[in-house]
Amino acid sequence: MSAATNFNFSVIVIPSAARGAAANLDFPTLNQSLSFALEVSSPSDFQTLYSQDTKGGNTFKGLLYVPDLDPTDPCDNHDLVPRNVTRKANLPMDDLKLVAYAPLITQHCSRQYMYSAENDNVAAFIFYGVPANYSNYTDPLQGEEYPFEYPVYYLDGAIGQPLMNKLSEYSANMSEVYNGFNLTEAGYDIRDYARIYTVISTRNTNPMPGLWLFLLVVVAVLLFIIGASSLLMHLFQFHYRRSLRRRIANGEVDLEGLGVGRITVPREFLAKFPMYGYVAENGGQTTPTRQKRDNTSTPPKEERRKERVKIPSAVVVKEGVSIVIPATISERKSKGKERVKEKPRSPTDTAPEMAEVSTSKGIPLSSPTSAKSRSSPKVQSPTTSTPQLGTQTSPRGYHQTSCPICLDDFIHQETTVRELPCLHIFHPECIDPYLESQSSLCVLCKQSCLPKGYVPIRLTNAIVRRERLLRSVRERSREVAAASANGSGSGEGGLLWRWRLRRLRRQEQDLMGRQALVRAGRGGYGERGRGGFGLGPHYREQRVVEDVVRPRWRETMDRIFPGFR
Amino acid sequence: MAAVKRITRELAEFSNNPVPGVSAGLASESDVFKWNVILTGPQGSPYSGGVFTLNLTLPTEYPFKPPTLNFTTKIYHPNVSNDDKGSMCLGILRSDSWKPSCKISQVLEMAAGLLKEPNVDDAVETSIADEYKNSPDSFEKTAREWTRKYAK
Repeated sequence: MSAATNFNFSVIVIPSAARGAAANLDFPTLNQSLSFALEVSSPSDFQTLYSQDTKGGNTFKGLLYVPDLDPTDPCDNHDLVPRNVTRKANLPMDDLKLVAYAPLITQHCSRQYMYSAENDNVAAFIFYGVPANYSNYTDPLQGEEYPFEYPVYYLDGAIGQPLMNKLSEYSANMSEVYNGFNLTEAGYDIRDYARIYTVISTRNTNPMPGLWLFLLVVVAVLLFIIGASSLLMHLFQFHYRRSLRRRIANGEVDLEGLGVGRITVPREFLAKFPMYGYVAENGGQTTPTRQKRDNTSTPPKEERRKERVKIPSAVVVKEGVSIVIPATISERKSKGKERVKEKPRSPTDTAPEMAEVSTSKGIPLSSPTSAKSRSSPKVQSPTTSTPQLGTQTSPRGYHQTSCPICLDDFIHQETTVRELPCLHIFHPECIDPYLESQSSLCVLCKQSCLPKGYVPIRLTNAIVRRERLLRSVRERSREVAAASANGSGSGEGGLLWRWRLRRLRRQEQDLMGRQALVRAGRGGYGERGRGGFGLGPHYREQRVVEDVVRPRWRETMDRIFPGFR
Repeated sequence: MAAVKRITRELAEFSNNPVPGVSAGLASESDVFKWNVILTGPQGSPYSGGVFTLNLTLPTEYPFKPPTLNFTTKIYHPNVSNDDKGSMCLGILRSDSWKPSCKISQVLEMAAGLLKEPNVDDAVETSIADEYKNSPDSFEKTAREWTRKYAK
């Protein structure tokens, strides 16, 4: 409820011609020296009896008047309310805002006044105490609901009764009001109206108490802290994401090991991997071989297939000189297999070996000229624009004589093979579907086939967190391994270590939930003393089962505090 | 289907060139993904004289994913889980070290090799592995006993 703070009574002049637009009562006040003005602002002089307005800060304005009562009503007490007091009839227009004014005689009379005022355009009602029962004024509608929209105020009788008398002085036309002669002399139009204008200012009685203010400050501080830490975390996460992206781009991160689900090779990259006709390591190096074969009645395809095993190792013809290589087929084959088993780390491991082999035999593995002459359009894949290069480089890779996936032998200059960046070769029809739908790693050496600098996943904070945690856990396990190797035997490690492990485990579950992946099989980390954490490959056994729902509040928390877990 | 083609090929290869001490065949003619394997306990090992049956299950993604080996005969072995699954822990059968170029015959060879010499570093049953390491006599005794009891 908003209480009144100030009552201001003044006399304004309403031109007789003013109509319609006058509703806002924007009229000049009468010359103060010739009229009257009253300001009541001492809180002991008035009281707010009722107000619907809760906000406060409003002002109620209107012309002061006494509501009409039934002439026979005993409440129409002319000792208190002079006969010539301003009534509604004395007001220039109907549509002006009014402030009703009446003595507080009995509860019944107050009610009569209020009901009467309700029919008028009333902004507020002011009662004043009658001197006779000044001490025991009664609430005009005590114990009842106020059915009115306007606020009701009570004014001290010592101020109220003189004001009532003043109100009777401003009900007639200009010449008859108080000081009327002087007023007309001063140039006021005799037809204009001089009436008492009331402004009631209010303020909210319910100002914010100190406690609330304190709480508000606390909340504000908390919000600030939350916001600041959230911002800080976001900044850090941004930084982490960027650095992870950089490291992925540099190929320093084992993406599959992150367990971020299936990473596959997009078709456009796959198409860039060289595809060429298989050239047996030492066989058919030069055109003379071909010619020779062509000359000596080319065997039918079926026969050739049977013979093909001889071609790679049997004869190498270079500039007309043929050298028989003693290596037998079976030896070569097993050699090739062994090498595959050895899981060569990189092509450079085997390259020197290869070079040695070739030099010892005195035959350059390939020369540009021979490569060019060798390239036959039949075996070249139309998809590769630089097939010559591919053909030439193929033998520097591994000794692969058969496709590791279907175990079929490659046929010299007949089989088309796909070479992965790690230089392993496969039948395209064997390896392509796998890379496209299952994994981005070479099935033999587990080297990524994705180009350097390519970030195949959307880096979320969860992935960043996971990578950091994994890294720290790996480092830690390395430390532990080193420590135990040194014989110090530090044991299982401290609390922090265990806590990290637990977090990793929980994150794993979380990540799975987010990725809607449910691991099909058993298996976890660090299976039985394998040292490192072989998290990666298990994820390839995941399959999508259902979307695991994370509670919304956790999502929100994650969004606000991306660093928390 | 590539997997079926390869498995059939491997089956043919295996029957032409079987691994000593191992016999294997399809569990049913209609399903190439399930093999029945019979290992005979190698001489000089506590399993000698025993006949162990195993189930070899190939995933549909074979050869991209490793097969699984389960002992249906109970066996006291550090690398075979001592439960009703009897799953065998072979290094090459783990999905991270599995290579498609690995053949079933090699897997079976490895399995037969494990009977001759258990691999304690890769053990599923750590207690048996410890026993094998620390008190080989008692291990051998129990293994022999189990072989007599279950693998005859």
